[in-house]
Amino acid sequence: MSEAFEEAVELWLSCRPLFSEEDANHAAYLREKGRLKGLEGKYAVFAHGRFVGAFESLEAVAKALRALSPRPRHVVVVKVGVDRPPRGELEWWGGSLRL
Amino acid sequence: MVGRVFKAVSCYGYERGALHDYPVLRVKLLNLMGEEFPEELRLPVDTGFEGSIMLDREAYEFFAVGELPREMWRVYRTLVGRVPMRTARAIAVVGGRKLEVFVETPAYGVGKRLVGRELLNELVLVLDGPRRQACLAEA
Repeated sequence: MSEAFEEAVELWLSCRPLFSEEDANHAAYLREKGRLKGLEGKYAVFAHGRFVGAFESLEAVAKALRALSPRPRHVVVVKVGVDRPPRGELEWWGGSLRL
Repeated sequence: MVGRVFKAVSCYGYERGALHDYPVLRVKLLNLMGEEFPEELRLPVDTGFEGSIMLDREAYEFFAVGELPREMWRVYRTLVGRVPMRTARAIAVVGGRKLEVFVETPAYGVGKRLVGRELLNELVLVLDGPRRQACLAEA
């Protein structure tokens, strides 16, 4: 049941006519992720629909983000070679949510 | 380990539950722009949650300037089925320590605020039930 609901919402989201800032940043990551080799351990930053750069520390990421104009409302940040897709589902015993 | 003594560094009173009070942890959170979340967070301690910090959707938006790629978002197994989450990186300040953490909110739904095992396992936290206090401690 929950999977059917999830699929229905995914379908609805994929039909949205507007390409949001969030969508643009995630699309930029997908476009560029093959080129992140050699940047292992760095934070790769995608904002305003493009690759902004790769940074050694979160302080450097913050500095780069504050320099962007206009201020981004959404940014994709990935620690290359460290952040990975989860290996499976995590646990939340007794978890419940209000929809 | 038995007989070990813990020195409490800071203690937080339990919050009122429906029948039984519950422990909370006071956490300061910063987004990846270095901005501090404007509310003081008193997060319920949930050892049943395997993640780091869960937030409601509205609070999560503050941390969307450090979101992970969608393929790295997590899915949780619960009593009512699978709950996919959006995931972002943030900085937590707990008891004077700065820790890189993940904040999450359900991809669909309102969400809630709590702290889970991924962060709790970085801390020495003493639950003093009779005094209704959760204390960060030095071992």
